[in-house]
Amino acid sequence: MEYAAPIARLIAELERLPGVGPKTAQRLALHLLNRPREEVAALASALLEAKDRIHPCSVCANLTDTDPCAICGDPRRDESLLCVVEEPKDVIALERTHEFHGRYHVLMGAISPLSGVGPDDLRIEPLLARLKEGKIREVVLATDPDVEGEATAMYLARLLKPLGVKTSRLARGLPEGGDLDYVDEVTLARALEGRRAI
Amino acid sequence: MPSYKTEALVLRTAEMGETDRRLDLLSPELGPIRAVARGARKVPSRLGGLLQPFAQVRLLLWRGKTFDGVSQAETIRSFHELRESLEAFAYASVAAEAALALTRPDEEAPRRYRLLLYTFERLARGDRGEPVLAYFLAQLLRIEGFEPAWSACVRCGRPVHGERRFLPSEGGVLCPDCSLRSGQGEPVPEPVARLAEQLGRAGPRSAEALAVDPGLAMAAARTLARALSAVLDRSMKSLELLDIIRHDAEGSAEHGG
Repeated sequence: MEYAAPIARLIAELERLPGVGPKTAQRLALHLLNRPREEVAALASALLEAKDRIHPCSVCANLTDTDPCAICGDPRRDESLLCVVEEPKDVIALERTHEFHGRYHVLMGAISPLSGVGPDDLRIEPLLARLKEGKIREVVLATDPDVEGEATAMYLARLLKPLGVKTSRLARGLPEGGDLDYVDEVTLARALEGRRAI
Repeated sequence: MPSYKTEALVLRTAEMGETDRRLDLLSPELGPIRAVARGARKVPSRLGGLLQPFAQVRLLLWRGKTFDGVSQAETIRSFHELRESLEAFAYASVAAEAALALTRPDEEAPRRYRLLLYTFERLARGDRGEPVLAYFLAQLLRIEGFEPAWSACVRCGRPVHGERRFLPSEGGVLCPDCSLRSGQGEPVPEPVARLAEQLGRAGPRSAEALAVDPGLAMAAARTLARALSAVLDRSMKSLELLDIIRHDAEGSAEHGG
């Protein structure tokens, strides 16, 4: 026996979400059907409101409900310091540190030729346009510390060099609170390379 | 759940779910493996740093329905040099994409594995990328049975000398008569065709001993890549990246950058 058409449709829609397989989609659908109508309506309304109101910031491409976003529009932020990240979620991660007071630029991905993503698929042209305005003095390349993120950082560093802008890369090393013998060889080698005097 | 051990090269990774990483691996004895490393994207995970593209690893995996799961991983060689140079990254990406594109499920791949490993080793030790890539592509096409015919016409079988026209869709060159009759084929200078043929038949030592001009080697690599694209019926994204990087590097060299 198969599910009634509306449940089957709900399961099919949920299954389209990233990381949701058939079993999880089925579990989520049945969970939603067991919740009060108001709760389901609130979820549906939140989905539609986010979809209707959230858009990429016209300056940095971070997701926002205003334009420019709260960070780009904040006069207290240091406009001479720009942090380049892969995804909007990276902006949130860096903001949680409360240590960075400059502005951001979201590339919307990283160079990954084997996944079909090249430099032309990223927001590199808008980055160069921002730099040519002449207000930015330092660019922090905060792409992921993986092969694709490294390639993207190296590619950007090469493009930025003729512009005379100071370019830095996030440091790599050991996570706080970890045990040394549980750290992988590559990270440990990088931490040794980047050791500093105390 | 049954588990197994193997050695493998990591060819491609992709994000999966909240913290997992999907892997395309090439094992010498098991061929292609699609696996998932659970939690590999979490900072405390050991797997994240190890399971990066181009790494040669020793793995313990468990059999899954769609993906096999990585239980343990150990680095044999990280090939970190390929992440620290944009050119090396681009050449290694072309090799990985080509090897990945030609994999067939459940088919052992010892020769392809050894060729890829050798290619990564040469790039990691700083050999120029053009001859390394040309040799890799020539050998890969030969191993997989797609070696183009360079010295005899693919239509009439007559020997071809001098400049010839290459027709990737038919797997080789056309003689002047067949080319004139059909109006097909792209011109390939004789030294390029000769080098492509030579590299397809050379062992690693003799290939390394060849003093090849990088421009000629790149022309041979491009011609061989066209042959591969005809087999795959698509262009290779990593080759586009390599072209962009080479173009940018040439541009900044011209401007004294």
